[in-house]
Amino acid sequence: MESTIENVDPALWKAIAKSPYHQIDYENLLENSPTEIRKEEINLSLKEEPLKIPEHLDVKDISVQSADKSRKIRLRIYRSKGKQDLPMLLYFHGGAFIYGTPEQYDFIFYRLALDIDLMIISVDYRLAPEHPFPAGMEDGYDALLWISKYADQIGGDKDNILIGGSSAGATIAASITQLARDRKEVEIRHQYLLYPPMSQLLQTSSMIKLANAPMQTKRAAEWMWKHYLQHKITQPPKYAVPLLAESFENLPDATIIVCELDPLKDEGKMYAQELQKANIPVHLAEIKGAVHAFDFFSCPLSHNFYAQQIQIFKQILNQ
Amino acid sequence: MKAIVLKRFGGIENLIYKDIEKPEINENEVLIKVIAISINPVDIKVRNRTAPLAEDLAHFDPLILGWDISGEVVDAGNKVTRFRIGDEVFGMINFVGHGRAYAEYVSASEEHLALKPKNISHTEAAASAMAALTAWQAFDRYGKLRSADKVLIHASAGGVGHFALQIAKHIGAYVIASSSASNRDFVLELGADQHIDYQTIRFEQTLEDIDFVLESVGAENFQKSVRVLKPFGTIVALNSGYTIDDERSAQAKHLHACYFMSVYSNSSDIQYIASLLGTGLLKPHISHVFDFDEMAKAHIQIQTGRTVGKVVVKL
Repeated sequence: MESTIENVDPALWKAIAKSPYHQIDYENLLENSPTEIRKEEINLSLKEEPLKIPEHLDVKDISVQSADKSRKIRLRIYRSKGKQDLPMLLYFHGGAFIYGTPEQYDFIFYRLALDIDLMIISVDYRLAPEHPFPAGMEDGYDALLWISKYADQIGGDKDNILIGGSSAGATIAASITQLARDRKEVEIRHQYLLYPPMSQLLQTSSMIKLANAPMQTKRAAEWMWKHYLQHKITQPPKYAVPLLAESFENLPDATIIVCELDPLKDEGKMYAQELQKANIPVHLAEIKGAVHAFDFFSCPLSHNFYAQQIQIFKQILNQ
Repeated sequence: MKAIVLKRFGGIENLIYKDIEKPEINENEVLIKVIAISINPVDIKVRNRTAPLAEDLAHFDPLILGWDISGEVVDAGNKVTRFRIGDEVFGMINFVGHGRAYAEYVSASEEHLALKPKNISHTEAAASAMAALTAWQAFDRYGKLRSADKVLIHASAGGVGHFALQIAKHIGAYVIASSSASNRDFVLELGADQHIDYQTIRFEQTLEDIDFVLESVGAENFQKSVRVLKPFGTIVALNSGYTIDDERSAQAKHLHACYFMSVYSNSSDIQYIASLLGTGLLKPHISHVFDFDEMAKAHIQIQTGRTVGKVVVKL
């Protein structure tokens, strides 16, 4: 059946329209002054009521050494108090490689870390356009090495590392799985990719049909990749664009969630297909009625998805 | 007031008639004089402690079953804006939670109620709460049924099923209704495009390319349903007790799956149901009406698992 914008879940659409973030002109800013988006988002976030940290949750920020000795990388860690040997989820926030913060996920991770007894480690990686590829991936890889080496110190289980991300964060997560496979220093058990951009080519049928979808347009995708890859966009370097990998063998098992009304959905499905061709177990699901980043808007669709995520993680961890 | 208290989890003998205080209301609630109560399978499953919800309710004393009511507003908290004393209202009260509907009076958040359409009786309105909301939320909240879709509705003559069939037709979908042969005419009259007699036909061998399945039978029926779905189709299941193999089968086909849907009280949904009832687009079918002192009989009827449409208790 043809996917059309009229199929957006009405309650989701209402929640998006009501959101102050909907007032930010992401598309034009991405083209003309991408870093302005960070400022606008921070201004809005300052107006929000601070979230109360649940009683049984520890949230702390730590700084770990980057491979480049002059810098540190901030990790924001969510974990239930007093538990040891927790599985660790290394997470990459979304934001077109350009904006977004770990804190924007507090409202999800405060609950998720308790509901599934999972330590979530969200990486405050360097952003484009000041820091194009491979900066974000390198920060993420350094964070991966650190949590593997010092898992004991933070109460994590070094043999139970998952990686995940939303949107452009999922791209970075997927890039890291490929890098980690080749370097063989750390084993990642599972990759959890939410509505990931997977190719800079923007030629899939969903990209064309849904070019003007709410929350993610083709034009925004073009600018996102331009800022991230810059002059290398015609010949992206190794690992930058997950779908361009030469081999998909020996990558971690995957969960890939795509949204019915997201132009990026076919890229997500193609990545799933490539993994499956390489005999990697993949759980691919398409959320009906959803648009890109729908889980940020309070409505039954996103509440149901939250419940579904708990099931998915429980299944990943019990395997 | 008279109320039916669940003395302990178990059989119908634990439904005890008692005189207790009328419920208090808070500022967002109304007090309703109950005129009709509809009985749902979950009433039985909480009574005999087979629903997960029973554990959440175990600490209530007294524990009063029932969620679906229709009645008259006799008192309203000072923050209630939508209803006034004298209004006729219906709805599913406080699900998932303690509904306390088996009583002469019940308190309810105004968010859980809608005005009873004038063209239907209290019996019909009470019948059209949980079951109709379940059907609607399955097609609109947990899954997304679209007009070009082919939908398979299991148990289509039952409480949820007969509403689901009508709502799916209203959405514009092609409806394949499964039921026993004796209810064939009933479901075709409700608008089904195709009937499947589940007792003589193996649907999993005859159907394919289905977009959406509403699964309410349980056990192996889930995986059979998965077999007839298109890749990226939708399955919404109403029963608890799905297995890891059920999940895997759905995942292998990349389904949009809801393994155990839970209906929830919600203002806009009950108002939408009210509008469908008011315009005659949705019609409840009530097969049995019992008196308040026959609650045990109503439970036995639902327990047969063969009820056509709904069972209602009148006060």
